[in-house]
Amino acid sequence: MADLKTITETLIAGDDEALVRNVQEALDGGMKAGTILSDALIAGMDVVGSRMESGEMYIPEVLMSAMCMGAAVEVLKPFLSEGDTTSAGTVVIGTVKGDLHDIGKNLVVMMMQSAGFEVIDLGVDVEVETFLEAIREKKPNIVGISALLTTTMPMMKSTVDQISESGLRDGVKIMVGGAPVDQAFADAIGADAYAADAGSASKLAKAMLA
Amino acid sequence: MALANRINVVGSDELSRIHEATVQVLETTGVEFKSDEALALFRENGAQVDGHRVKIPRALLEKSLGTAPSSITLWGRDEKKCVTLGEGQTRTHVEPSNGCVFTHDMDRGRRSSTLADLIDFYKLAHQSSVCTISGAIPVEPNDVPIEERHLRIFFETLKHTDKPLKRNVQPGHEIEEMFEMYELAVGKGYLADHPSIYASVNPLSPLAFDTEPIETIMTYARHHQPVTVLSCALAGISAPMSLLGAAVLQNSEILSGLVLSQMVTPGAGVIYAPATAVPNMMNAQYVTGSPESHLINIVNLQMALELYHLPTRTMAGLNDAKVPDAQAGFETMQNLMQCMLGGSHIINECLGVLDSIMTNSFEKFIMDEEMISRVLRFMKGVEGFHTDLSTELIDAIGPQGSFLMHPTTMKNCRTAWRPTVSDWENHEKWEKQGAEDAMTRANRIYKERLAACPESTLDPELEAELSAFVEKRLG
Ligand code: B12
Repeated sequence: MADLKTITETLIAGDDEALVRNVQEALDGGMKAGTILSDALIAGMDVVGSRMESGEMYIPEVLMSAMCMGAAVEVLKPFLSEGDTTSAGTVVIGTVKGDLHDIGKNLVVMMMQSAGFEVIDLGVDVEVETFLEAIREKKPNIVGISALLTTTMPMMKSTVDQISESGLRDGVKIMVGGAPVDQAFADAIGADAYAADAGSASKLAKAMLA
Repeated sequence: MALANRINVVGSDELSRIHEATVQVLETTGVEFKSDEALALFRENGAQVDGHRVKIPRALLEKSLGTAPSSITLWGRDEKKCVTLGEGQTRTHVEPSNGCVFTHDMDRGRRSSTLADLIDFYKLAHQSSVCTISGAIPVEPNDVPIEERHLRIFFETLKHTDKPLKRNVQPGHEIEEMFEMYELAVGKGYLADHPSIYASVNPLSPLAFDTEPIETIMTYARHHQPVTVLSCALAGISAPMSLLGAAVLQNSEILSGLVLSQMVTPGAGVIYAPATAVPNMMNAQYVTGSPESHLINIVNLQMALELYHLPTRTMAGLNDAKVPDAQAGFETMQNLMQCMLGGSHIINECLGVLDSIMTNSFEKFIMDEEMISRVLRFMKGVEGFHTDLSTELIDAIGPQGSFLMHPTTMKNCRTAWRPTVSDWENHEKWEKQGAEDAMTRANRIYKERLAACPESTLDPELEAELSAFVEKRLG
């Protein structure tokens, strides 16, 4: 039977077939789904996170592990009890109106997902109204806004303003990012947080909800 | 080009394989165009259209390649500054940086750019002998209201240069407005037979074109103005990690933009602009200094130069340094040499640029001019007087003699290349003259240049008319 250590190792190696097989074997062997989740998988993703930060793991490898995590959780789901949470929180994210840059935003999405967040990605060129609707419907903990153009940065401000005007501001933390954005701009528009890259974005998101 | 060879990355037989792979991508995968007008045009021209997806048949591609010109004459308001782009061109043409959010200089460091900075970059570009095309937006004027920017920037462009111009993607009505404004200066109807302004248009890699870039391609083609289709994919993220795979993707994107332009106006100028980068795969950040990136882009240059006979353009002076330091120097020189020796007809993002195109530096502008001038000189190769093998002269001077005062030396000693910012003195003299490093000299030179630059290149009447046009449009 696959032990916790083997499961963690296959997760870090990004081998989805072996991971699913190992998780299934562990379940068949009588191991608790909640234990596999917290002690093998979530523990494994913590290792992945710190290896990413130190540069030992490259982004495609990190994302592969995250995808494996998703596949393993699917196997576990039917056996998890109420107390075993798989979600670190919900994030609604998008690139502001007028802006089509999404490579960085997509990375933030993937890193948030690998950190255990449920992410609703609204895509690019996102109308303020679409953000508002998503906040009302999905009740996220965090709203992420991306902009790569100085000409669309003001849209970030109006998005934040309208979230406030619609009375939705208190229920969410707002994070902003993108190459021309910085902490000073985030402060000026009344966002809660700024992160310079996807790794720090997901770390910060976790810290904000802790 | 006077050098015997360009840099080639692959052999000629590889080029036809890349072409066939491109045809396969265009015919079977297709490209998305987010514009009903463009989709209708593709349908009329025999392409298979399914939703936004267009599959471009070989015949349409070949027909379009047949009509796209191999050479474009681009006019300046000063017609003497007109340039030939593509076949028949005698030197690499140079365009200012574009899109930088920050300005950097030695005295004030890095800061959010303003209109005053933009004007200073226009002035430097106008006076620069290496810079043959001006315009673009070297730094973003962050202090100008966004609704006013397109007109205010174009006014400053016309005020501060009479060279041929480069512009960016804009909605159709803004482009029409800009052409109308340009014709106030050069005469109504001038643009129809004088290409004078080209726009740089990006596909949304992989394999898509958004509405405004499509509008730009179509509006420019209707007005007989060229466009440059610039793919800026990131290998491993928005393009295959394989260098040749990235070249195929980029070729497919650029050629599909070319087809669109030729369907609007057969013969409209299209400049082929490969600009794909190998990013920092450790964290997926965009970087510009990798020696691998131009292995992709030079393959694409080969396609354009050898197979398609099109004018070409590359982002050639990029680097990831945050200040004009040694890294800025060696990454810039690497990219300049790769792109220029690869045969690119126009180079851009090469006058002042730093920090993966986020920052433009006044001092680096001056340093870049010299770097480009070095490569331009090298590319002239060995011509004229220099081809004299000089056996008679060698015999006449003989062992232990001196060539210093021989007439051939006297006559030609002043023609040798000289630096404009590098120091060639001995140590003692350098110390006596203030022991300046290159950055300090560049700082002094850029200020002298700005002080000597005229405030306007327009006659006062025309300037007033253009200014009135802008104010009227802005209400
Ligand atoms: C690739 C690219 C493109 C691609 C976009 C492809 C795509 N699907 O995204 C294409 C070629 C299509 C493109 C188009 C344009 N671009 Co562009 N583009 C770039 C480039 C070279 C790299 C951006 C990138 O993907 N980086 C890689 C990712 C991983 O990094 P990132 O985006 O910074 O994201 C990281 C962080 O910022 C952060 N982050 C990002 N979002 C968020 C959100 C949150 C919530 C958080 C916490 C963090 C966070 O985490 C990310 C991951 O680590 C930049 C230059 C640069 N140095 O950034 C120019 C740049 C941003 N583009 C620029 C311009 C001008 C344009 C165009 C207007 C060009 C034109 N004339 O048409 C168009 C605009 C189209 C539009 N309407 O949006 C300018 C902007 C200048 C300005 N004045 O604002 C830049 C700076 C280049 C330049 N100097 O000209 N572009």
